[in-house]
Amino acid sequence: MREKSVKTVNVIGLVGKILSIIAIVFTGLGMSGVLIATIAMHILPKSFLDVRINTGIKAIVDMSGFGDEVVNALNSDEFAEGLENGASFNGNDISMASVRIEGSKLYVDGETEITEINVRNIRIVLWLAVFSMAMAIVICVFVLRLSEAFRVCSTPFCNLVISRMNQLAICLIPWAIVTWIAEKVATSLMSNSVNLGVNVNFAFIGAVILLFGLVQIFKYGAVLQQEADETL
Amino acid sequence: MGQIILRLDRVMADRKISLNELSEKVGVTNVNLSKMKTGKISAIRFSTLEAICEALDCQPGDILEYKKD
Repeated sequence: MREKSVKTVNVIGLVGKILSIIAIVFTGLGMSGVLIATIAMHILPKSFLDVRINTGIKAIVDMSGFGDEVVNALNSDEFAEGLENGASFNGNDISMASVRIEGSKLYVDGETEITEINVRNIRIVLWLAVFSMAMAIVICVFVLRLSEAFRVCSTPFCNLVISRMNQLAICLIPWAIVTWIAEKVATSLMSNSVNLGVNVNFAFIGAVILLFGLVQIFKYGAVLQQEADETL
Repeated sequence: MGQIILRLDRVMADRKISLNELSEKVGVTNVNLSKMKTGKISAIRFSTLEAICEALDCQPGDILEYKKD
């Protein structure tokens, strides 16, 4: 039973090692591609690209289904004044160029603010992508090291597995923070809006806590393992 | 705080029995018996102690000794 379990752990380690190597290779290739694109962007003059994007909105809403009360409210002055202040959708401010109310129908002609994408912004976003990918490779290396420890161990409750699991759990935290900041900066640069909202990734926090919990369980297991090894 | 000392080597010498011989009789590998002789273990199962006492025709007290600091 014991040998079978250890063999299973070794096989899991082998599979983890292969998957980590594949992940490192593909992320490395991706990073190289992005790096080449980044260098190319630095060679190109700043005036090479200056894109301005804005999106037009045309909407016709039939409010008759909501009843007379809603239709009357729609035709009130307060509602018209409210619409003049514009609206926001997905973090993009929409200016209402034209709002008409005809009977129970609401006709809206609007457009989002102009988003400016230039070479400088693209360069920063590409560098952030390179940095995020480099961090992902570092995480993959830590996973690879843990998998290797599982592959060669004669018992999973050994100091090598515990220390590598601990290293992985610790380095996941800065990786999550850096990736989050990079994503926020990239989104801000590409949409010309600053979003300082903190979205908590509970799945990730759960995974880190679980990993730290596993480290403690493995430490306890290692003590039991030592006692068992020293008992005849 | 005192400590428990294993006197297996002494009993084995008295009985003139080799490590390999005892290993065969007790069913414990000679590597593990060697650890026991040199005091590199921290616990012993009753079943192992029984088998050793049976093989060496002795009492547990002959093998284990408490020594005060």
